[in-house]
Parts: sequence; structure tokens; C-alpha cells
Amino acid sequence: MRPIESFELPSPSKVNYLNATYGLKSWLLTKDHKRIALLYLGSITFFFFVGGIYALMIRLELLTPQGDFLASTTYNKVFTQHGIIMVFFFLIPSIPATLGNFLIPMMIGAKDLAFPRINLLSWYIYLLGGIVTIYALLAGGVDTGWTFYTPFSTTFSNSYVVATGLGIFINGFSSILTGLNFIVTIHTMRAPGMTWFRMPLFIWSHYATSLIMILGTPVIAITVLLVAFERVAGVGIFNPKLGGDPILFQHMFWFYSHPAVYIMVLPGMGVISELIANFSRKNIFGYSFVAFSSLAIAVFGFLVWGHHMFVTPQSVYAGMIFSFLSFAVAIPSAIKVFNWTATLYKSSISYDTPMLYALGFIGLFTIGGMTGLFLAALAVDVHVSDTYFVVAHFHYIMVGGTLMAYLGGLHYWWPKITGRLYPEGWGRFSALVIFVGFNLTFLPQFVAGYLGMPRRYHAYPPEFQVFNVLSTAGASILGFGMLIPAIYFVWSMRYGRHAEANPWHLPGLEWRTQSPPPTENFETTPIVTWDAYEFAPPEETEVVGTLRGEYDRA
Amino acid sequence: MQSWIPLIPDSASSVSWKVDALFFYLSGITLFFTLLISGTLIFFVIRYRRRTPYEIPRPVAGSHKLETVWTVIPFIIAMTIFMWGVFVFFEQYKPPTNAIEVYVVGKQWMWKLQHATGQREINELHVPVGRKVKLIMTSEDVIHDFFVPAFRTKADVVPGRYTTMWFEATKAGQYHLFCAEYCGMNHSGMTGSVIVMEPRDFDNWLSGNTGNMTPATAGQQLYQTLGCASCHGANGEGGRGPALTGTFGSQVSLANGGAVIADEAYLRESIINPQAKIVTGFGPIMPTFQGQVSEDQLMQLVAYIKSLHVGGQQTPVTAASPSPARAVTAPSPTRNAR
Amino acid sequence: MIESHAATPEIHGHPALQHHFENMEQQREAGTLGMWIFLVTEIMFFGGMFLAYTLYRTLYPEAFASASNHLDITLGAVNTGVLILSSFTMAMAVYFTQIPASAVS
Repeated sequence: MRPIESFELPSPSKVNYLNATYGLKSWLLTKDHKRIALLYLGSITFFFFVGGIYALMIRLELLTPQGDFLASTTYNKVFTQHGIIMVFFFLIPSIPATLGNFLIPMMIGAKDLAFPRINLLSWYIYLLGGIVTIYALLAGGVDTGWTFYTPFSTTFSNSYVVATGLGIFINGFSSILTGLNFIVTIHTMRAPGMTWFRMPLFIWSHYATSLIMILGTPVIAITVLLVAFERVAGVGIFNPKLGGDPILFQHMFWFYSHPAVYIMVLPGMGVISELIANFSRKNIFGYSFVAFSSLAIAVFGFLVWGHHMFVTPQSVYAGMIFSFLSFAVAIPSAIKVFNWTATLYKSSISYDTPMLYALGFIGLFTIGGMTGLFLAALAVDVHVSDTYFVVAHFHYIMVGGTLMAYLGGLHYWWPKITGRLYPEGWGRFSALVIFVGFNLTFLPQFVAGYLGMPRRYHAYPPEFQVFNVLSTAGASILGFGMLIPAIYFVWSMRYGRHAEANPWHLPGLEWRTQSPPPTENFETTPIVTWDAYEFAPPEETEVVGTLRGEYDRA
Repeated sequence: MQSWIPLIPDSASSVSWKVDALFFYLSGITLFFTLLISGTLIFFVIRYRRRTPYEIPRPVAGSHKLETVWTVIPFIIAMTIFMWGVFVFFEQYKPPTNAIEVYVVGKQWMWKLQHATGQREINELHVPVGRKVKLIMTSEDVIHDFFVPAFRTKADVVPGRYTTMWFEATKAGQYHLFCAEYCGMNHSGMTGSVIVMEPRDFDNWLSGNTGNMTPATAGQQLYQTLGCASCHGANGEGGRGPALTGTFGSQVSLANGGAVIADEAYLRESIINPQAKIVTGFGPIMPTFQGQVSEDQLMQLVAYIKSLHVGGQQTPVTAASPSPARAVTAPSPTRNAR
Repeated sequence: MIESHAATPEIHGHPALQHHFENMEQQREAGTLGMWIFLVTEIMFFGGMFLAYTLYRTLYPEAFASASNHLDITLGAVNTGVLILSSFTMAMAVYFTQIPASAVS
């Protein structure tokens, strides 16, 4: 008997979380984590397209070396706002607030997150932060770079720094409350039998992410508050003319913003662990190594902020220690990549869209991670810091990593979330277009960066043009590729084929209830007697190295 | 412009090939691992593709032996990169002795430079081949960053303090100078060039621009007009304030029990924030000069104090007349002693 | 908290039990852990400010010393007293809600 066919699926019911209640009020006052996840999905998608339009404006401007499409002041606002919107309002909440929110209770067999009202509150806080930020952008925009470096941001910029800072400050509490909710839920709400080492790796990576959210986000909140305080009240905190220290700002900013990179990528790694295991019908190779590597990344991530400051007047010995720790934090990521690859050995790999995204993620994340080593190596960083090399590197992590994982996860759980199937052919096609467009956009930027093209340049010497033309061409393909899923996801909500409870034939808890799930997720609280990714009985487990012939179950 | 597209920038300083070597090492490792991972992935994806809809592969237990292997090997490789990076970095930032000194002030959105011989330049820096050049830099407003890709070096230029960087050009030519730290509206216009000349041409260039006082002479005049002489002595011999002659580069013991090497950053701080580090045996009586002197004037004062050493004023270093080594002999590579 | 699919006392037993918890013990545990985590975020929040404060206090000790001469000891003492007393009464209030009424008298 094959376990994946042996589930006792609940008798299909017409009532689910989407149609249990009707009306705008039933959505805006919902305490159901699944509905809140959808509220987040809508608002995050909105911010993603706003940030994407800024990205296209940047690429259009850089098509020619002269600054002829936008004025320099406009360009400065455009790249600043691209960064702020994408980092704070898309990447940080993307996977945790939508997929995490929807799936954490389902995967551990709970009815909801521990604090449903706080969960709703965090969406409203996110929305309020977003509205304040959008107000700042419409009122005149902000031109400090998303990094808000002092004393430019506190004294010299004539743009809406305080309003934008306020938006980020408010938004931070949304992130803190989400992290708090996740940690408490994972600790106290697991179904009977769901031990820590039976949890899917998605849960482990969200646990690690939540730790960073609660420990790091308060620091960025106080930092932007101090920036606003200096700007409004003229208290000398960061401006040396007032007795302050501009480098202190960078320490405080990166103390959060480096771990924030892991807030963005760890949930993506969790999604990839799910996709790799489930679409190859194999348990993750070295489950506990992958689980603990998430925690190791969360802890080490707090110790490496100084590697953003190798060319500032930071002590060279501090630089040396930060460099060492940065190499150390690369190791857990490398372990994950090797373990994912090893999982595929002797597995049964499907070519469904989510798997294409997962495979793309591993390739792009490898490049992104390896180029991170260039930046951790002190001598090379001195040359490439603040150039397009850095821009290319973090886009490989943020777009090639997080965004690929987000899209992969969205396709994977789409039948569960909406009860509808997306068109598989279009899915594969757009995954391919996005992969090609992405590489064409960002590979040339590595070369331009090593050649010395500084980032945040509105006009540049003509010898860099060829790389920028390639990059802009890639960005157009990427932008086009993004539109395809946007269209067919919306289309499928109305016209897609109905999804059964377990369309992929998988053992995870979230697939053992109807699609879409009922408000309480499960008709009765499940009792877990199996490990994560247990496709076959554990007694059939093969120990690597003792080849006993290929086992054919078919 | 070449007919082919260059993949690495001009290599024109004594460290640039060392940075490139590490870069190529890293590129090789990156290429190897990217090909290894993607090659393995592609092989597995084809070899273990799903053949029948209901096939279930056998589960595999993790192997601690294998996992240890792919933890330890990347770690060892990472450590070789780390050590190599540190080795070259220390060379990039170790302050050289006996270097030509150039004072750099960044402001939105231009570079103002002054040679020790008095020549001023804007957005251009002329330097000779084969001599170490040390830049002593500060900013009048926001953070800037002095970046010369052909030299593979850059350093932030921070308001309120001095930062230094150095290079030794190895090839005559004209190279890009960029501001690499975003500094506002015209950031991308804060560019210029570094013109590397043969030593003889450089000396010609230096002697052809004699309109300006040397920074040290200008500093001497300021020293008199600001009234520094009333406490520190007419020629820096000391009085109610500590003696300045011979101070630069020496170790100064402080009233709070500490000690500090008197470098440019220390001299600057002592003018702007005199109470911060008080020399043993003196009272906290000096007023601050914050707001009374510009960054240019501060650099001139610092240049004057540096020129005061036992036996009279020192002549500035030029390409053709290397001075005896007397510059900072910092025991370790520090570039930000407060 | 009552809502359409909220607690049905026959099944869950306790009127204060919210719909998504299995039992009161789980609910209490979640609340306590949540509060501790919230306190951790507060420490990180003010930790950043105290870091900046400590740094500038070390950099400019004289300025801090002369500023402290302007403090009003009476006002400061009263303020501190109010803060500590309010924490105490809050803590006591929470404590007495958690023990049965019979144990109080």
C-alpha cells in the first residue's frame, strides 16, 4: 500500500474558509490566518508591482550613458523607492506573511496561529506603514537610498525622510508581531505527535526567521526613530557637525539590515526544502542538518553586519573578524545546497512548475552565495563594494532566491489556497522566461561592477553601456515573464479547474484536508504518526553507501 | 576604445594585480561549484525523472560522513579565501612611510585636492609613476568615497574625521575617479580623473603651478591669526599648551592615563574637540575651534603642525626629491585612530 | 471573545477558552510565552537607544556631567516612584486574576 494514496480524505464539503462567511466586513475583521494570508497576498502583490515599475524606470534610464530619461533628482528617488518598497514592503513580508501565515498552522495541525487578533493587527500595521510610505512617495518622495546613510538623510536631503522613516518604523511592528506569533504557535500549538523533528523544514526555517524578526526589527525601528529625531529636533546623534557619529548609524542599520537579508531568504529556503522533497517524492537528505543550518544562519547572521563597512573607517581588525564570520555563515547555506542536491539522488522527479522554480533557485542561489564570498573577502570587497557587483550579488539572492522560492511556493500551494488549478503549461513557460530574463538582467552587472561602475549612478561613462543595454533587455524579459503568472493566477481563481484535496499526492498535513480548507483547517485535530516527507515506510530506508540494488516499487 | 569588450579594468597600481589574482581564484571556485551543482542537478533531473505516475523511490537516510565532507571542504576553501583576502587587505591599507601626501576634501559634488607643495586641483589628481601617494581625506558635508577602479582601492571620506588611503601607480595614463558612496543629487557627477605621469613630467607639472602657498605655510599664517601661538608658542615650542614641535608621529601620553599616536586624526580632533584627549600635565583650557575653521583650513593647520619637527620646517615631498622617512610610523595598520 | 465559530463550552469546557486552543493549559502557555517574547523585543528596541547613549556618554563625559546638574532630584524621584509602583500594581492585578477567588480571602 502506498502511503500517499492511503489518506482518509475528508468527505468533500461545500463549506470552506473562502465561502464560510460573506461580505467585506467578514474579510476586514477576519481572524482566520488563511484569510489574513490572502489580505497580505493582495497588498504585497500591489507593492511588488509598484516596486517593479520603479525597477523598469531604473533600467530605462540606464539604457544610455547620459542621464536623459529622468532628471538626477528623480532618478535618485526612483532607486530609493524601488529599494524601500521592495525590501520593506515586499521581500520581508513576502513568504512569511502569505505562505507562512497560511501554512504554519496547517502544517503543524493547528486551527489557527496562537494570537489571531494580533495576526490581523499586524496586517493593519503593515497597511498603515504602507499608506504612510505611499503618502511620502506621492508627496514628493525620498532620495536617501534605502540605506538612509547619515548625515545625508538627517541633514542634507530635502525629501520626505521623516514620513518614509515613520512608514518603515510602523511596518517594523508588523514584522515583530508576525515573528512573535509564529514562535509561540510553533512552540505551543503543534498537534499531538507533531514532534520538533517531524516538522516540515518550512516550519524550521520560519522559526529561524521569526527569531531574527523579533531580535533585529526593534533595532531598525529605534534607528529610524533616531534619524527622525535628529532631523526634526536637531539633536546630534549621527551628524558630526552636531557632535554625532555617522558610522554609528551604519552599525545600527546593518545590525538589523544584514539579518534582514536572512529574514528574506530563510523562508525561501524553507519553501525550496518542501518543493525539492515533495516533487521528487523523497525525504530531505540530512533533515536535521538542514533544520539546524537554518538556526545557525539566524544566529551567525547577527554577527556579520560589519562586512557592509569594510571601506568605512572601521578598524581593520574588526574588518578581519567580520570577514571571518561572513565566511563562516556561508557554510550552513552551502550545506543546504548540497543536501538539496543529494535529495534528488535516486528520486522520482516531476517537471511541474514549482519544481522548475526550485531547480532555478538552487542554481541562482549558488551563484548568489558564491559571489557573496567575493564581498566577504576583504581585498576584493575594497574594489567591488558600492559597485554594480554588489547590486548583482544581492539581486541573485533576493530575486533569484527569495522571489523564485515565493513564486514556486505560490504555484505549489495555489490549489490548496484557492481550490483551483493554475494552467501548468503557462506556468512552465513563465518560469523559463523569468529564469532567462533574470540571468540576462543581472549577469552583466557582475562584469560592469568589477570594471568599476559605481551603484546609484544616474549617468555613467560610455564604456559601461554595453552591459547596461544587456541588463535592460533582460529586465524587459523579466518584467514580461512576471506578467504571465499575474494574469493566469487571477484567471484561474474564476476559470481554473477545481483542485482535489491532494492534487500532488503528498503526505504533508496541509494536503490531508479539503481544498480550500475549512475555517478550522481540519475536521478533527490530526494525530501525527509519521515523519516529514514520509513517502514510504521508514523500514525501507536505504543507507547511502550500501548499494543493495535499485528498489522498484512501481 | 578597444574593439573587444574588456572584462577587467585597467591595472595601474602596485596592488591591482594582487586583487585581480584573488578575484580570479574566487571566479574559478565559483565557476567550479556552479558547474558542479548545476551539472549534478541536470544529471539527476534527467536520470531520475518520474517514469510512472505512482512510483515511490526508496527513502534515503542522511549520511553524516558525506555531510561532514561537504561541510569541511567548503570551510577549508573559505578559509584560504579569507586568509588571502586579509593578506592583501592589510597591504592595501597599511599606511606607507615616505609617501607623497595629498589632502583631499570632498563636498557635494566635487573633489578638492591640494598637494603638499601647494598645487590645488579640482576633480583631478596628478601623481607620478612609482611613488607611493597617501591621501588624507575628509568631507565638508556627507559621506563620499574616493574610488579609483584602476588602482583597485577605495575608502570612505567621512565628515568629522580623517580617513587615509594610499596607492602606488605603476602605469602612466588617465584613470576614472568616482565617488562611490551615494551623496545626493549630483552623485554621478562627482567624478574626475587620476592622471598618472612619468616622474619627470610630474615634476614639470608641479613646478608649472606655483601660484599657491604650500598648505604648511598657509597653516602657519592661520596659526598666528587664530592665536594658537599664545599658548603653544610662536613656533610651536609650547607654553600653557603642549609643545607641537615633533609631536606628529610620536606617542602622546594622556591625562586620563591612556596614550595615543599623534596622527592627522588626533591633531584634527584636538582642534575641534580639545577636551577629548588632554595631554598629561595640561589643563582643559583650550576652546573649541569647531565652526571657526573650514575643513581646508584645518588641513592647513594640520599640515603646519606636521611640518614642525625638531630642527625646523620640513620641505614637502616631491617625486624627484624623496625626503628622509619621517612620516607616521604606526605600529600596525590603523586608518581610523580617533 | 465570541464569534460565529467560537468556543462551544460543552466541548471545550471553559468559557474563557478560545476556539483555536485545545485546552486552558495550552492557552495559558501561549500567552505567557508571547509576553516573554514581547519583552525580548522591547529589550532590543531600547537596547539600541542605550547603546547610542552609552557611546556618547563615553565620548562626552563632561557634557553629560554638566547636564546632570540640571536634573530636579525631587521630580526624578517621584517619577521613578510612580513608574515602579505602577508596575507593582499591574503585576499584583495579574497575579490575583490567576488564582481562585477563594484563596484570596
